[in-house]
Amino acid sequence: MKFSTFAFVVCFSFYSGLALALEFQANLGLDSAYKTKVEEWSFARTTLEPQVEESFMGDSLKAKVSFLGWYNGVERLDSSQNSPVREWAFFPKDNYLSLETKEYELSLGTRVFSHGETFGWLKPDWINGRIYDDSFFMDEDLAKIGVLSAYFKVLFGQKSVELFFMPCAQVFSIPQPWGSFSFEKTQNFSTACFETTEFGMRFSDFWEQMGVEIKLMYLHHLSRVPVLSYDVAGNRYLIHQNEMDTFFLSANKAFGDWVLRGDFTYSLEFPFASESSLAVETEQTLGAHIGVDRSWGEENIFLFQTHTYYNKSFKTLLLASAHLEYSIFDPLLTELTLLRGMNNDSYWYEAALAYRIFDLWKLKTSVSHLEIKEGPFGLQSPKEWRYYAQLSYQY
Amino acid sequence: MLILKKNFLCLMSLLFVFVSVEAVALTADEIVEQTDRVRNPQESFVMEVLVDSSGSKDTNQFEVYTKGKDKTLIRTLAPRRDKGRNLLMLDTDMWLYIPKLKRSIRVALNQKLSGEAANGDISRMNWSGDYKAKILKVNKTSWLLDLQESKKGLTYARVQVEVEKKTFRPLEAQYMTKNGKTLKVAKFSEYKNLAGALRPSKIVIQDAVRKDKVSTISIVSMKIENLADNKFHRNNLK
Repeated sequence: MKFSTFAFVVCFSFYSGLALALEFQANLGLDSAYKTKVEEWSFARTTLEPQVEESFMGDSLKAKVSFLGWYNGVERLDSSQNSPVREWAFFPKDNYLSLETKEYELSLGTRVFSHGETFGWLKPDWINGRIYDDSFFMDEDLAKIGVLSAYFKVLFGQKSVELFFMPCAQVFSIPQPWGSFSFEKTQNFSTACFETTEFGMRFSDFWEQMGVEIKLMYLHHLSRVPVLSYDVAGNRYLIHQNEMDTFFLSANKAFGDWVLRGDFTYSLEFPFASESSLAVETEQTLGAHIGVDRSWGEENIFLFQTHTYYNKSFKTLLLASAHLEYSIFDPLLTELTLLRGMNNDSYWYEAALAYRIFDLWKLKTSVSHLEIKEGPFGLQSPKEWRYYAQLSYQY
Repeated sequence: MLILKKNFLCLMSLLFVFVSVEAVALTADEIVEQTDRVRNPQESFVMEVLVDSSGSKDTNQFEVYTKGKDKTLIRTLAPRRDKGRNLLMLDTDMWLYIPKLKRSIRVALNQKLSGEAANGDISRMNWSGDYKAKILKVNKTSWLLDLQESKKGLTYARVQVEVEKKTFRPLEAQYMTKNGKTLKVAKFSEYKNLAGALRPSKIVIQDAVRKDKVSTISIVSMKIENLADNKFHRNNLK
């Protein structure tokens, strides 16, 4: 067994007294996996995610600038010639100008949005594209790419209506060649701005008498999860992406200490890999993510969720996930995450310890054991252990 | 002679007022309402609050916006790592904005704010409306009131509070389970001029079992301010 895992994060912070809040964060990490012949790899990563926000005209006009960049110091452990992840990467996050009143908000620029009630990487949070360089293990919020958009929000009573317009197609950020395999994008749409546009509308309300919050959304968008098919002749993976329409319904309700959450989707043209993994098909697909969680104390939370996708051809993908965060004493937090396929033998277990050294410094170490035999959307991973450690500083 | 007569009349007037106050039998609910008026203004207001907890080096700093009895927005200013984790409370429903997730999530009402201080200790500054009160005991200088929850989802199901007769100031409150088991004890002190009246600026909350677990809520400032309803919208928490 090879064990070469350690990671640490170095962050820098600046603060200007000129009513500017500058936020810098950097991560430096080294990850390792073993029992994988093809994917055995490790890397050290430095990540920087600065953020600057400034308000004008008594908070009515806001400007925000943020991006995500990283550098990977890559070390291959097997004899293959390719690097698993790119060395340098740069992604826009929030770079927009917004005009805000008590009732309205209008913003123009790149922006990271959020949708969904449940938690985890399976939830249908599909307004933004994602970074897939790290397969599906990158922090889900870090992985979102800011989308060039015009956004309008109006609030009335406890209701709100939001309009989204994204003029340029958000194509996948896909991994670099991996081991002896290469990836190639396949898409049947134009990537020119204003030719393939994405747009949507979201309505939300809170029914006070019932204590129920609901969100309804329609989104015309590009598929957000890469679907892989194997091209035997070229010995490569083809990554498929297509235009689709999705209707979303999300709701939550609190019952004492517990909160019940649900995200439901009905997608037209939902892509999925065929049984043989040699082709990609699209079909109307229903998605249901239902979860319940209990929080107590300042930092303790337990949540349990089920995730289901269903269509006529594609047999139901049903997974269950559980997550526990428990503070043993003030600076030490334990985390336990379980993800288990209910109709297959795939699983992902992770245990983590996070220790807050000082106010803004945090050391986190984790160990994961996973095997994805029949993962969603064609993702597969052999049985392996992964170790990770991170030291972070945030201002 | 005239002066003596005047003094006598004044004395008699004061005596009459004193006897009247004693004679007027206030209901428990009326006493609670008066106590609420002492604790905070009945108009919408903004206050800055510091919370220090035993075993923690950090001082939590919050900006609290309150409108009516059921709308409260708590903005976290410190410690720096928690900045932006804002809480909205609409009656007994609560949302927490997580900056990293860029969204407000529904949370249970019992979530602690800091140390022994629950959200309800800061966001629900009115007992009237939330509790049905009855007088348990009448002392020479104070009333002992028993407050039973009149709605579900409150931080504390039952509160026993001692109120000073002369001033309607809360002296000490025991936060209890429905069955009467004491969870925490709160002491109100350091009255100072806040938003135009003398109000308690320090609330010390102690765990009833582990006496060493103590949180101190200090109200640094309080001012009456007209607040728009949209300030208390769950999609406006960032």
